[in-house]
Amino acid sequence: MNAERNIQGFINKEKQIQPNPFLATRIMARIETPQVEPASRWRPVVLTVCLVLTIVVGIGLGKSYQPTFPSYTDVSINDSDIEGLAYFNLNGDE
Amino acid sequence: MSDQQIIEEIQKGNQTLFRLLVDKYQKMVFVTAIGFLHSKEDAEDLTQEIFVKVWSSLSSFKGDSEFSTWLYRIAVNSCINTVQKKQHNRFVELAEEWLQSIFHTESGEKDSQQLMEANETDAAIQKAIDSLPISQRTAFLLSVYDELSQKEIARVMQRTEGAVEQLLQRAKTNLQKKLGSPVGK
Repeated sequence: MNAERNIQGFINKEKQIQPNPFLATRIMARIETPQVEPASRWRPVVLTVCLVLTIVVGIGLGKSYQPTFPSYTDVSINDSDIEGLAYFNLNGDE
Repeated sequence: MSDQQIIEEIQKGNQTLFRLLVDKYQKMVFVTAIGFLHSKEDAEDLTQEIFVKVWSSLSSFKGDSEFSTWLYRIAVNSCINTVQKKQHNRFVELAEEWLQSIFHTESGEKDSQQLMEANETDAAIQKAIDSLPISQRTAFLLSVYDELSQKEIARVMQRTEGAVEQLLQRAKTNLQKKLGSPVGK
């Protein structure tokens, strides 16, 4: 049957594919090399939570800030009190 | 030196002997991976991963079954896991197919018609094999790629021989149904 023959042809073609001659060496090298532990799956979660917390705390602090304006008091100074002109009038020459 | 002796030596600490097992079985594992993945590079990567798994779980091998059967089980499970992961990346595959079709139309100057027909047939067969239910596919691939007997397949898949026979029969029927029109020119 044509379909069967085509399937067999496809399978034979795939079976003829040869692996890299250095595959065994690659496998042994991989086994002999200690693997670095992959980063924990929680790491991105913790980082995201920290980032969100920082933003929330920042917004909270920003909202809670109450500006303190300096209390302006009216200063009324009578110049005539500062400089007593009468002083100059107490001149003995006169 | 038998597989059992090699494994005992490795378990005693003579780890360099693992190379003997790799040399002996790499082709077998590679062919199994090719059957599932249809790509040399992917099959090589998976073969490597399978041997790393075998290495890390060799201490748990008790010799209840033959080493080759145990290795086949690990290989088949790894292949199925990889295939299932790949199915999630369907979009990328479609993009690759699209790029391939562009490439083939551009480079197909000489006997392009024949080449395209052959590619279409191969693609149809690959698609038909890949669309088989996973147990039928596993039995079929072990039968035709690794040329295992029904008894051996039954041991690897931990099923009865009768069940394997049924799986193979169904796989063949399904393939013929799926390939009936596009392949039978």
